[in-house]
Amino acid sequence: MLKKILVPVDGSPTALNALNLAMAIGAKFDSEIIALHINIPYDYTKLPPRKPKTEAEAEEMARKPKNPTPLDAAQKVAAVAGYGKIVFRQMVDTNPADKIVEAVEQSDIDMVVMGNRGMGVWAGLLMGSVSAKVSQTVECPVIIVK
Amino acid sequence: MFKKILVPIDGSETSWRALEEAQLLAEKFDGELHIINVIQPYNNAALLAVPLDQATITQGNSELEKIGDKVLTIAKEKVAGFKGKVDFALEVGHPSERIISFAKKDNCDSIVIGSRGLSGIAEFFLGSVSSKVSQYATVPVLIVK
Repeated sequence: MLKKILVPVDGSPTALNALNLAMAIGAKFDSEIIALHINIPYDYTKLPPRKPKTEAEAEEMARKPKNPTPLDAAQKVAAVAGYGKIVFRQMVDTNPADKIVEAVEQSDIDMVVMGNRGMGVWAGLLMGSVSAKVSQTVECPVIIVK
Repeated sequence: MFKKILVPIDGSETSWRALEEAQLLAEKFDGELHIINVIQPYNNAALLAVPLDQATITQGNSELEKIGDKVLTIAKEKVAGFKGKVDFALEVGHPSERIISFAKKDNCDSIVIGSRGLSGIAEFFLGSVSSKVSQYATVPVLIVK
């Protein structure tokens, strides 16, 4: 019944909550989970940190742990839960909602589990959020996680 | 998770599919179902044409309650094969608002709802109950097509 569950991840905490819920459901239905990250090129909300001015500052920045990439974070969560049937995919596109809908159609997904608000807080307010678009468009059931 | 599932129904085809899905999840997760039907007074365009005195309102409401009871009776038949605990309730008010506050009051840990209800294409312009519920509820919301 629920053979394949798609979890779009973007590195936000709600996306990881969604992954946890998907694993809880997947464990019951013995389903395969696909964690999908859509990398947005030229995303100005994720500018690289500024260049260090002094040696001391450079050291300080090197010591700070780097933010994990969305898929790394997802991999970590899956490893903690010990979930085996999971694949990680990455795509590059400027329109995440369209790509997610496309992935659902192409890979015969039975359910989508996603966070209600990801990284784009302002974009979500202005242009309509990814989760709203996906939940209205796809044919399969969608779980919106907070 | 999925120990207490709230299923708002309105008698539409998608809401019955949502009920089926909720039943499936409740069986797997050993949870209970809370089925509610929200009736909305003064939703009727016809009510706007007649003077809104108390008698008309009560009459309209009792009419709506009859319909709501019927929907819940059909729901009862649909979940007859379900082993776990099932609760039924009839709520009066604004649908998405009542659903969210009911979920809070009853400590439901998830909501399973049909994507498009009885108002069909009207929701396209007015904003649907399911999208409001999924945006404002504090628990995971499963939207069934």
